[in-house]
Amino acid sequence: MKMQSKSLRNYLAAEYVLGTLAGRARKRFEFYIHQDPSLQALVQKWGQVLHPMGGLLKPVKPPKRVWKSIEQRLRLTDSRKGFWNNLAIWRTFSALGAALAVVVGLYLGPLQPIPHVDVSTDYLAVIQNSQSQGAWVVSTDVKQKRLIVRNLKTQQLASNKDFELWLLPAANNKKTFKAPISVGLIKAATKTEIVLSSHLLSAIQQAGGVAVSLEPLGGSPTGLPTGPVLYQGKLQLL
Amino acid sequence: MTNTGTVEDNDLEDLLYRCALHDAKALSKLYELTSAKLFALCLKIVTRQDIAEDVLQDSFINVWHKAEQFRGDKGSAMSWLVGIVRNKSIDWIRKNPIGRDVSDDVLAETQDFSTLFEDGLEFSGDTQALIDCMDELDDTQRNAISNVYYQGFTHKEYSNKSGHPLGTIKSWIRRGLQALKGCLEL
Repeated sequence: MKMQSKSLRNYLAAEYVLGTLAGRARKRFEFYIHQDPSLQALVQKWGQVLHPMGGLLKPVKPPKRVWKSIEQRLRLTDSRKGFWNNLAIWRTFSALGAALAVVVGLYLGPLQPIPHVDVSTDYLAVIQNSQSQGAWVVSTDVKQKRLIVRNLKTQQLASNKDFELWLLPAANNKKTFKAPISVGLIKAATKTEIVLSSHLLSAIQQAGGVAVSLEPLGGSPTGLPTGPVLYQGKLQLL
Repeated sequence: MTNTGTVEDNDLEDLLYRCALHDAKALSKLYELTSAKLFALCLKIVTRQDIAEDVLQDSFINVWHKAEQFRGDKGSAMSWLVGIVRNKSIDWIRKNPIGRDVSDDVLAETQDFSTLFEDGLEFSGDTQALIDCMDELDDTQRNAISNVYYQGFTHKEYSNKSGHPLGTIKSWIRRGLQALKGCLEL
């Protein structure tokens, strides 16, 4: 499939969104979409043209069992016990994860000096974008009630935007909090140090990860993320 | 008259951003606000209740895992959700070409676009704009696009179903799509 022709790309994107591409042509086109951001943008544009049709039909309420199955598959309910709730396994994962985080840090080393991680810190996370490129390293020093965010590289940020750091609920911990908790704004180019309140100190111990969203200047006006989530990382116990 | 959902797209956007942070309440709310519309679409395409339930379930699992890829500046939240549901539905019918309930008259005849929704309803801006632009198309183009969109036909299937030659169908759809894009100024 030659994808250089502008009109062919446009036509195929339209047919893909409409659903008329079938068989190998459809599969090949999906392969190209993942490789080519401009093709992805064309698909999004045709989605804007055609997908409003998807909301025109008379609504049909699905049976309750559909949501129940979704909850179970994503383990959103806390009634399930078993493998994923096994503390020993989580400790092992946690240790492996911390080792992996250090390896990722070492891998990024030639590009940027590895941020120094204080030995007294208790938690560590490498925050990555969706392409798994490290952007920040977050570490905590519980004794000093400090959270330190170190840049692996300078991030691009529009003058009317801020990066906001969030604690994420743990997927398999029924004692975890239910919605993301804001930790504070973090700087695009330099280290950020945040003093941890007792509320945040306690939340960190129940958190599953951290994330960075793009927010209006001064941070989210609602207390919950209002912009795209650009980066995420798993919080590892050291 | 009110819209079938009266859900502001900004609300859906916020919920998707929260889903990206694994906020379970946000997914629950998103499901509450959109599942009936999305389920209607699943049912229309796959034609079987049991499969439509599976497709809807898989779609929301996808939403949870892919929410971080949603960008509000690239399109509306509802269009993004519809895109996921349609892709899942189309994937299923392509893998199971004889699995659809063909005894249902949904597939026995092609449908006119204007019969798919009730007159007099108010729709959100982008949906109303699409309806207005669909109205401007030739009948043949409009019905070809809507039948293919809602029933997941390939060109060939629609050609067989409607009794028109394959080349004619392709031409109607191609011209109709270009006219729609021009009308919507996208």
